[in-house]
Amino acid sequence: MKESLARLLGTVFVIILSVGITLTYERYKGTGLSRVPEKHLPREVPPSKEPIRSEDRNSAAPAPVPDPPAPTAGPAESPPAPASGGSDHLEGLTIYPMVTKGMRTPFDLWHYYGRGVSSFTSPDLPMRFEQWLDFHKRQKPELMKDVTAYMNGRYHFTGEAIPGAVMSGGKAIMKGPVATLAPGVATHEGLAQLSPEEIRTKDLFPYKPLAHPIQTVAHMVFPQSWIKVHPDHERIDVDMDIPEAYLPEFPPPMFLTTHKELGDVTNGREVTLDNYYEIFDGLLTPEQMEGLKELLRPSATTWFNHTNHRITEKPSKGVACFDCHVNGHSNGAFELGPDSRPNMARLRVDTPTMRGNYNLMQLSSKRSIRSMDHFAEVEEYFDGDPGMQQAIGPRAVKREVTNRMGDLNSILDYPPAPKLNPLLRLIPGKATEAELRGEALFHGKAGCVQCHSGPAFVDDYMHDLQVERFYVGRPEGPIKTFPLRGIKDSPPYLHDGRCPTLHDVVNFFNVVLELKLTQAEENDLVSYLLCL
Amino acid sequence: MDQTPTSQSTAVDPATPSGPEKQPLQNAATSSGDPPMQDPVLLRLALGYVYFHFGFLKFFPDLSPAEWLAEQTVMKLLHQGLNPEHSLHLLAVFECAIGLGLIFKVFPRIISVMFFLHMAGTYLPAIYMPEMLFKIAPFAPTLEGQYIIKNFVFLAAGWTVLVPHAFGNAQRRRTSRETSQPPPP
Ligand code: HEC
Ligand code: HEC
Repeated sequence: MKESLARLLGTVFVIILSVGITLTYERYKGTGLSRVPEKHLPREVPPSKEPIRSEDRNSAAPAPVPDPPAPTAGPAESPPAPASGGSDHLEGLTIYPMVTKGMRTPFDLWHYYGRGVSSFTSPDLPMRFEQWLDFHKRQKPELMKDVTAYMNGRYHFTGEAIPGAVMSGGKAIMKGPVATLAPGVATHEGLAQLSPEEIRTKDLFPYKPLAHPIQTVAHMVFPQSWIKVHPDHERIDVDMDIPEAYLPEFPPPMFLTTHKELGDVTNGREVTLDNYYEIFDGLLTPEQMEGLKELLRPSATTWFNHTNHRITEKPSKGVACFDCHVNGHSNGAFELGPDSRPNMARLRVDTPTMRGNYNLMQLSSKRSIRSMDHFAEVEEYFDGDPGMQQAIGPRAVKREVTNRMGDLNSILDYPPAPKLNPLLRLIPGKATEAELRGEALFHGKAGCVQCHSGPAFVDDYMHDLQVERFYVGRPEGPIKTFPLRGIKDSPPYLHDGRCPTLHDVVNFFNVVLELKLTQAEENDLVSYLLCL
Repeated sequence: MDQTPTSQSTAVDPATPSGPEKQPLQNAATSSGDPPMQDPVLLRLALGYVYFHFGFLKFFPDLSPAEWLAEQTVMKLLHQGLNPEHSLHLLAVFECAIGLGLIFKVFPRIISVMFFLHMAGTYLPAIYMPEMLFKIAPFAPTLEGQYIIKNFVFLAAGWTVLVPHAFGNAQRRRTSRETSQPPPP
């Protein structure tokens, strides 16, 4: 008797507790305390159908009259899971883990979404600096082991080069596609024959986004070849995750619009504060010289600085523009686009070249920045959080100075493309059959020219390629078209470098634009891209 | 309410049939003339409540202040084999089960094993991420560190509540099980 009374009381207590917590959570969601965005709440009711239903309820019969337009527009393409717009994109996603600086984050961050605790960060570490060093000393080897295993799972980095193909400075160009296919898909060509729905539901898409290996700290990660020359930029927490062979050459040649006759003005050297004057005195205007000096002068950043809020063992002088854009090109360093919060929602971006930026109307993958002067002002040194400058020291670049950085930027030229005529078409006498077939495809069946046209092979628009049609994940939204002139020098490809070779990008577009190109056609397109 | 002689397996009341058996420690206490030990009901319920409450919170993102610690530990334990959400849910199920087991006094052996595994797990962060637990190890903990050190009290409480109940000698357990069947309501 007493026993059963005790059980009854226990049960009542447990029920009160569970219901209480559940109701509390309902109040918690969508408040500033919660990582669950408010959008989460009305999810059950499809917003598009709401007005029709309420009409139904109000007036008894006349529903059929306003309805017809919808069905005729609808069934033409039956709606696949994510295509219906609105909050349906949350399907299959989970909330970002709760993490603090330094902690590991999942490599498949595309499966996650949510709000940050705050838009603002602080210049504090979650522990003493000595502990911070110890923490990473222990975590880094494990992290890098997992990163390597993950990358080797996603890609077969065979190191096989395309015979005879080299970058402008002579580095071998890697052959692909190296993206690993899911079991059951025999060839990359075969993948392109499948429908988006099939690829999505069977989880066959090999070109899912790449995340930063440690997205709680994120920031700039430099390639090992460059670190060897600049050991002060070695990070305590993470290293480059893409093999050297699949990155741009170092140091890359530098071409100037004002001195085409000189070819590579650096003669194979990396331009630094120590040698720039000697190399460029008498070739540049004083304004360009000042701009160049500023592009070479390190400034403190969120994590490379003299405070404890850093990921170098010793205090750091900071980072210069040309630490990533080496010689006005790129060394393949990556970071996160500073354009979103929480930090885990930010997209990984690898360094684009500055060559030929004079022809671009839109700069950066998502921010649509319209001038190089402006870009030099806003560069992502503080991860989009100017508040950090208070603690770490501002970049202190005044308008006149950024203008001059822009002046130097605007004379950085493309590498030579000896097979192109002034209209940027292949010169038949110089081009191979495969290259000419590739050009025809580019302008014809493959339709690349729709977005890659003009002198830089770019349309200067942002496009939403809707890549999330092919995998369950948070959509990445519109990304600017990147120019293709000189593209052979700039692996890895796409904003986050998820395509290590040109073969991978071509296969990516074959799948994403549903072009149904054959393997031979894909190879012809690659041959063509190598000429640009 | 729980102190009927039939349901108490830990208490040593000379009047109960199970009393005079070999339980050296407790017999010693009785024979020395001290008052008999009680079934620690409140301790069991308190422990059960805390387990269930803190466990149930882990089903909801954001609600558990231990979320990051729990997620990181489980993920690390499973070599990043589970995503953070599932890691947290796994732990939630575990803790709620222990909580219910304690509140309703059921499956003492299984609950004991789960309890001690869980307790061992709570100390893993000290190995995995000591920097998050100590300002200066081992005597200057952070709040999280203090939270974990405090688990020694849990451990002791669990020992007191569960061990005699689950692993006392077989006959006693049988007796108590037979007689503690609640009458049909
Ligand atoms: C991590 C090393 C890094 C450093 C240092 C750096 N950049 Fe960049 N830069 C990038 C990345 C990554 C992007 C792509 C950003 C994006 O997509 O949002 C970029 C984009 C650009 C672009 C636009 C290119 C395009 O095709 O859209 C310009 C211009 C540019 N940077 C100039 C600069 C200047 C000027 C500085 C120095 C103030 C600088 N960068 C320093 C990595 C770097
Ligand atoms: C709908 C417009 C569109 C079409 C058509 C298109 N592209 Fe692109 N291209 C883009 C966009 C947008 C990006 C950048 C995407 C990203 O970074 O996520 C891009 C990026 C690229 C890149 C990588 C550039 C870099 O610097 O990383 C290559 C190479 C490329 N496209 C080649 C092609 C080829 C070959 C075709 C034809 C098969 C093609 N594109 C068709 C819009 C288009």
